[in-house]
Amino acid sequence: MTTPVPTAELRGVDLDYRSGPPWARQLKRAVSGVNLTVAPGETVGLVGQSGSGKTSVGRLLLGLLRPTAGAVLFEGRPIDDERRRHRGRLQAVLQNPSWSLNPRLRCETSVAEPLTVAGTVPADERHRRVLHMLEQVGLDPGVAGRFPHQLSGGQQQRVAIARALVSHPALVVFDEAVSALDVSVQAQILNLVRRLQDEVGFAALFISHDLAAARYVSHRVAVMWQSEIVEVADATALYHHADHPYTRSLFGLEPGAAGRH
Amino acid sequence: MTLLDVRDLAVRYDTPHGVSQALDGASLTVAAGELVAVVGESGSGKSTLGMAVLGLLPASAQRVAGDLLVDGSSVFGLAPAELRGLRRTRLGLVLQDAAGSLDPTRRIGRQLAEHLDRPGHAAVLSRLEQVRLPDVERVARSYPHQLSGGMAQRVAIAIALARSPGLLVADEPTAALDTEIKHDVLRLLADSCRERRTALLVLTHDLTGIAAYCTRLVVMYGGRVVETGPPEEVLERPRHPYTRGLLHAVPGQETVGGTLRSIAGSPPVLTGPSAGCAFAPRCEFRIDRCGGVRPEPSDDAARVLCHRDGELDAVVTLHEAPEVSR
Repeated sequence: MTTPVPTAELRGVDLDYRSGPPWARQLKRAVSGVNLTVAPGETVGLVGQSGSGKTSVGRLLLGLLRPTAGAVLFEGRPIDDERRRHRGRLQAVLQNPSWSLNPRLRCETSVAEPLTVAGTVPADERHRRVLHMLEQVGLDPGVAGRFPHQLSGGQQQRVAIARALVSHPALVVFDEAVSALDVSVQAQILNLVRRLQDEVGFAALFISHDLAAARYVSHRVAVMWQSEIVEVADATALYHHADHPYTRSLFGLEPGAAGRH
Repeated sequence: MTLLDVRDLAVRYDTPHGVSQALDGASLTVAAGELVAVVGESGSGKSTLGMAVLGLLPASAQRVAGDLLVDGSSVFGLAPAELRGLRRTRLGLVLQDAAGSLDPTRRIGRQLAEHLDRPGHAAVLSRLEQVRLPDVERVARSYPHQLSGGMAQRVAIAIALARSPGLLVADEPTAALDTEIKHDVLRLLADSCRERRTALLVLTHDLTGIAAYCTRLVVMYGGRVVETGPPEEVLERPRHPYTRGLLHAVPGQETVGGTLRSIAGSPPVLTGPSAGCAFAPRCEFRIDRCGGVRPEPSDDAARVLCHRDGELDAVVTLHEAPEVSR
């Protein structure tokens, strides 16, 4: 699935985090020489252990971090150009839904917020879109009038996904979006992400430490190790073999993933 | 010999926000030296069970029915001093947040020495070596915040096993750790318990991850034990519909382009004893009896808690979800 203009692209990106006082500046390289593209309608999985730089890559793609070197492109242009144009076009779903839902706002207000911020959609249209979106993520419209604490973890994550998709974004970054959920609910959300992408057609980066989950929702999977991307493979190919020893070790160490080869 | 005997235990929390039934007649026995994994999702009651074993239930918890015996005596009947004695000599505890269970203001070596019968620098170092920590001199001199999560968890294990307890309870010991370290820590837990003939009770939500390290799997749902057995048997021939559903829902076993079969609905929040089977609302094999009659455990060792146990293999299995092209 290659198109002339990828939705998001990292070109030779380095990222250093600085710490310490100015006279004893310490640099820690979080992302090193990373090239990554996400085509429209494509899901790219990004796996690796904690500290490997996965979340930094996600934040770079969203334009939340500026790279130390290299370029971040969104729809073919530097992401820093005309940032206002991007409102509602870039969204994120985080590990813990309570990080993205304001506990004092009813779910309808939270879900409508990306539209409110964009300021281009009239109120009655917003209401309709919110209810339609809640239905698409498999929630009862009655959820709109409730507060986050009145919902289960799985329902909250569905609301967070509805909020991310309501503005028809071009790119959605899922950062460990299913890690905090119970196993029986996790599969529901994974299936939901796959179904919505087929229906709505956004580009997605699916960040996870769980290779099996990433492989399940993604078209391609990138494996990060010590701030570098060491392998990018078709998800279907990962069902059969992996090239980089680190990828293989990820499989070897996960009984769930390695069991049925 | 039966070390731990949980008999139809029902525990309820009375909070200002209402009543919640955490355990609803859970039964479980653990023999000396057994490695048992209790698997369940949030709200299944596994943590309440673990805390009850140590007599550590909060004041808001009420025992409604049943009993819990350690070494033949009920933890609910013991005086506080006797309970402390039992914890000191017979029981050990490892929690999810290892760094949080250590004292942040004192060095590792001193904290560990406190738990040893014959404290001394050499004894401390040898205990740290036993939990496969590198550079034990440095670890002994460190404060908890100077250790990684995996190292802190190893220290916590060394402390919990310092007196070779009869039973070690580990509540989600690896939930906060990376995949690779997770398996090292589980292997360490299992090996150390085996060496000391300590029984291990691991509480976890990770059904497939724990299977390689235990001798028996116990599946909990809605405050009851719904199935138990050797791991290979439970994983390959699950009998309870919930266990079957869980195994289908774990990513990694689907075929190329296949779809995961999720369990519809979400785990129950019980506010009182369940009228029938707690899993009935989500169960695709539900019959009328399931909603109104509490299932009793099957007579064999698996103690399956299902009205339709034995019939299910004959029933045509779960309908395939529609394929999503990928």
